[in-house]
Amino acid sequence: MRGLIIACLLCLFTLPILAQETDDETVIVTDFFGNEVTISDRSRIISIGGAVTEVIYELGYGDNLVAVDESSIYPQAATELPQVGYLRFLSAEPILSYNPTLIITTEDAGPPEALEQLRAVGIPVLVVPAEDTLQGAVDKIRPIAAALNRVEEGEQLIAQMQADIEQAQALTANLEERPRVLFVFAGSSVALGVLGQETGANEMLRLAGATNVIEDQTGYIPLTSEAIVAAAPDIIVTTSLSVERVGGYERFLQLPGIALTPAAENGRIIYEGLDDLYLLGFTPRLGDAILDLTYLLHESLPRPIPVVIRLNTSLNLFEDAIDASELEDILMDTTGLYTVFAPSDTALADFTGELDPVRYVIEGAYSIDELTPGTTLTALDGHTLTITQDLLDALVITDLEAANGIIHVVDMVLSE
Amino acid sequence: MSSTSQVQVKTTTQRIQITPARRRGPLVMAGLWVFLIISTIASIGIGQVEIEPDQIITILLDEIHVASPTITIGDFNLPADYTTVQKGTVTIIRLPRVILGLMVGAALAAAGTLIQGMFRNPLADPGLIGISGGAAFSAALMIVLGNTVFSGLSDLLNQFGIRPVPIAAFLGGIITTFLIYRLATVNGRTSVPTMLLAGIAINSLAGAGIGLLISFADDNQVRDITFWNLGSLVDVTWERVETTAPFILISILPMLFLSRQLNALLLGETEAQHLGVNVQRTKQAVVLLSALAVGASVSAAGIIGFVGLVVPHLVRLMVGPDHRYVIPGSLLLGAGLLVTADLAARNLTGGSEILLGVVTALIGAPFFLYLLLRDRQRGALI
Repeated sequence: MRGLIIACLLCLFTLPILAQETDDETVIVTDFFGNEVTISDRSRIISIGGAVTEVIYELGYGDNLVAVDESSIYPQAATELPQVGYLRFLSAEPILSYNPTLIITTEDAGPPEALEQLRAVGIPVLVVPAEDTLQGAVDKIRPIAAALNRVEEGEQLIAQMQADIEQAQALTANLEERPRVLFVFAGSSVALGVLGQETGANEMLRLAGATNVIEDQTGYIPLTSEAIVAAAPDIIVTTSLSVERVGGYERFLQLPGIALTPAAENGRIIYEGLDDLYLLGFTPRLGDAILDLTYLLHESLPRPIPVVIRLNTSLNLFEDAIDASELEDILMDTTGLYTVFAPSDTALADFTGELDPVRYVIEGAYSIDELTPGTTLTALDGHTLTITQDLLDALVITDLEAANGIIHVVDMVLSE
Repeated sequence: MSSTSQVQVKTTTQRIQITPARRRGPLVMAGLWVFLIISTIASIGIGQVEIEPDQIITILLDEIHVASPTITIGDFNLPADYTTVQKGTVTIIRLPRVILGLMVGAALAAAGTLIQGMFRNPLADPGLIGISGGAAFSAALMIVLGNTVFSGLSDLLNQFGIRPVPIAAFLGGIITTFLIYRLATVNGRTSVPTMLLAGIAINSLAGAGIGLLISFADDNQVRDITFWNLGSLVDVTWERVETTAPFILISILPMLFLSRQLNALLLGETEAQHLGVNVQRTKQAVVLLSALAVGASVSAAGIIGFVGLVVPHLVRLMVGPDHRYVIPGSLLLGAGLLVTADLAARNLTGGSEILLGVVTALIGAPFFLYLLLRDRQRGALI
């Protein structure tokens, strides 16, 4: 009997390892152009397209990537890989110099001749759709999952994404008032525009339960100050990179017309933590992005603890840890009350051990005033948590309120 | 007959200038051939995919189905083993690129020589008769409006396997040149100064048009226009070589037979007429051949500046003003310089290439300034 249990445990341990291993099974995938791409060697992959790179990491093939393009800014590991240039101006030879066995890119890649050359040399090139819709995000994942022989994992990814979006839709389904939003995008410090109908931005606003104030124009429209003032948006949404490109938030506010909108007057300009790829990339994180945007656009919605953590820009690593644990479901449930001592990204950056987020969560809501040195609390996993002066000194943000509790951001990792 | 004697005097001076350079001519031509051959070999041999010389020779011999001789000198072994990626890199990527580069460089430089000869102006370049401006405007038009206003047209072209942007650029360049030529031609006689001024005006108009299109363009389209306006050989395929080659060859070969007429034009239009040159016919030939050569180059590789302006000067500095040497010299130097610039464009940085127009100016301009300063005393630019 004991042998059986050990054998089962061994199986459980080795299963994920086996699943991560590169398999050489040959598959034939029909790509965006209707080409049948035969794929068997997945040992050296080049990904060209930020969303494609994310899918490859999600499906466990991140370690097999040998190079990416400049739009691949997530996850962090992708930014450390060599780059093969800009999606629309690819050159075949630098790509070949990495000796790839598989190239995955999107329909936006160009020039077409460069892709033709790569195919002619005999490297499988898989081109996936890149439509800026929910369906587009799904259509992007499926061929990649098929190519990597990870069909099931791909479907799970899609299901998770769709569940998040349904959750977001449910949140706003009964709202009577839809905020009127202007979406501003800056490709560079001088190329500023707003995004009208039939754009990815419009789709994001729709999915997040808002109305695009640009109702009768389609596509990218260069910024005109009077039109912005006339549109009178309640909220302005832009990407964090757009704000960076125009020279920071202060400069953004000074852009012609922006300051005169109700959105600017009420300080309702949303951009923090929303980079171009996250907000407009239609990546596997689409569900997260829509949930974030939904909570940010509708201030009246009660925000459970994981949402507050996600919307805080200094808690990305802790957020990942919660996402990966069963804690997410517990904390999303707004019937209980919890206190979270959330370790900041700075604290976790150098931390190499196993982060167990359960240890940082306490039942009941304790504000900073109720915490004095010597107070002993019990974490959700049963461990005792003693409040020390060190801990109180390390608090950087206190009393972040959530619908079901309080979050304190702490610049240290809690020891045993 | 004072005017005849004036002509006499001028031709004599001309002859005196030409004589020493003519002796130098064949030597310079030989030197330019050597430069061309070396730069071509380097362009085929050097790139981001590492391929040894013996592998390249084996690949090229295999490509033309010639059995390789067996030679062994140190690490150099013929025939050598190679991978499919290495073979593909040479035959699918580098060869068409180098061949098109040679043609485009030759075409731009020779057209520049013709235009400078016709305008008798060292500042003239093929852009002046509207080819680049017209091509850039039509290319931008297709880039920005190709999926909306002109979607029917682009779909039709795509059905026949024709890429809309290059064909638009080619036609735009030719049509603009024809327009400028018509504007400057009154009663069958083309006024060169009017052509120059009309060219400047039309170029501003094209610039304004591009500006207007950019204000409607989205981010990606703006980037596409910028790339296109700075030229590149990044996406050259054999197919593009095949479609461009006839136009370029048909236009540059007749250029070699225009040297007598252009030499006469150096003296002035009336004087050339007296020497028995059909001046109007010569102008027509210059405009037609340059438009064809540059139009084809621009549609194949975008707008590559500097080559058409400076190569003729460099050649004249070496061989003097005699077009019998300047025209073939420009063909050789233009071709060699462009593939060298392209070699730099694709190897100086890692992932992305530098745009070719940027490189031609970056290496060409300082060299040109150096020659200019060195020969300042002689003042012998034209």
